[in-house]
Amino acid sequence: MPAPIEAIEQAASRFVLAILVSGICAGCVTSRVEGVKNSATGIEDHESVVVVAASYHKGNRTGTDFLQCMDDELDGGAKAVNVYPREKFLDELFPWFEPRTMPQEIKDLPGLLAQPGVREQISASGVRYLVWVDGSTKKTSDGGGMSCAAGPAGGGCFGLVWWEDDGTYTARVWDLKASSAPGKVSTDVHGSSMVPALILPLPFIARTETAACKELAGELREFIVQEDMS
Amino acid sequence: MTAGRPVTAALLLLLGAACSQSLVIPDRVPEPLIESLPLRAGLYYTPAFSTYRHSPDPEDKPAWDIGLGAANVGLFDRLGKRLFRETARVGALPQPGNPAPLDVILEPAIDAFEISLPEQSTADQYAVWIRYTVRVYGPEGQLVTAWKLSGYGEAEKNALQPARSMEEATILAMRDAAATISIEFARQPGIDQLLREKSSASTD
Repeated sequence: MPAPIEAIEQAASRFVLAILVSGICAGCVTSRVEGVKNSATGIEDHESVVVVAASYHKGNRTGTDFLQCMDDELDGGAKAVNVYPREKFLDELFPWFEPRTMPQEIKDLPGLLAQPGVREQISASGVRYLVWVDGSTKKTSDGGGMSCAAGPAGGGCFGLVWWEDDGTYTARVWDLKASSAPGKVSTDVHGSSMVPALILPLPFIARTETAACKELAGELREFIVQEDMS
Repeated sequence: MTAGRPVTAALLLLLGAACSQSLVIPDRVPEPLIESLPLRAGLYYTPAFSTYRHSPDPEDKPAWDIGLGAANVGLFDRLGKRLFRETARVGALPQPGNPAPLDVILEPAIDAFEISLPEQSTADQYAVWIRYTVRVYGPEGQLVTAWKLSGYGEAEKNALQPARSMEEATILAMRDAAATISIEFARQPGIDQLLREKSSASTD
């Protein structure tokens, strides 16, 4: 029979091993992305894209961090596209793209472009594609527990907490030059996170929202740059 | 005992910060991109409107003290500049028998400012409702219409900077109201008739 201290060490080793094994599965993200293209796209060097959240009056909860991430992803990399600053676009076209007044369907676009100054302002901005983002990331389940204590000899935590996030996002693309809706791309992302603790907590955090943004922006960039309908 | 006082004061300050928030809304609503109406308009701001503050509600945790009078004056100034052919601020409403050289005089008022905090709802959102009444008077001070409208804005929770979320939600609510006024002012009862009269007078 091992001595008490050896038994504790063995238990601790097993616990750390279990954490490492489960950590391989936790802190990771699985995703699915797909696109539907109805007509040809393509973008010139002088043209740009603006990414706008769909209206919260329709229940949309896309956060500004997600939109900023989309801007950064579209604007960087090998097939970067010009991204027009969202706030500037909304201010220059105020009040036509506010949550209450924004066009909901492509059939609303001609009426909007007929408003005095709107077509001219969009043309001057160089924005060709308007991308409506709809979606959010939500925690779908969580569990476990952790307790921490501190004393004169030191402190530490013991336990395990875990949670799962699901992110579902859709980006609908409108071509303002052609007054058409060439299609949409969407992504579903699932992330598992856990924080085991044996004296020190070890976080294995899944960056679900960031993964969803990168997937969606990557597919969207291909959708816009690739001229044919493949 | 003496050494404990600064610590106690710091703790009280920290507690105070957690219990109340104060901010002044910046004047950030842009000019609308609309066609001007063929009207000369006066803008009359009462002291209650131009200095409007949302006072802390003891039921809100934290309690919010929000100054939005100056930002609303800026909003109506810019709105008036684009909505009407000519605008001027007036210091008082005109009286019968002493008409103002204007077609209409607008007197905006904030009737209510309501907030919903993330702790009070299932959504992780700050939400703001601003209820306005825009009274429109004729050149002799006769009431043409009293238009009640509201603006709604929401912003996601920022745990480290709640004031930023509240500011964003308030500005969105002001933009919402300004958008409604920009698009629907001409359709208000009394205003539509005034515009028809103006139109027929110019064609005669």
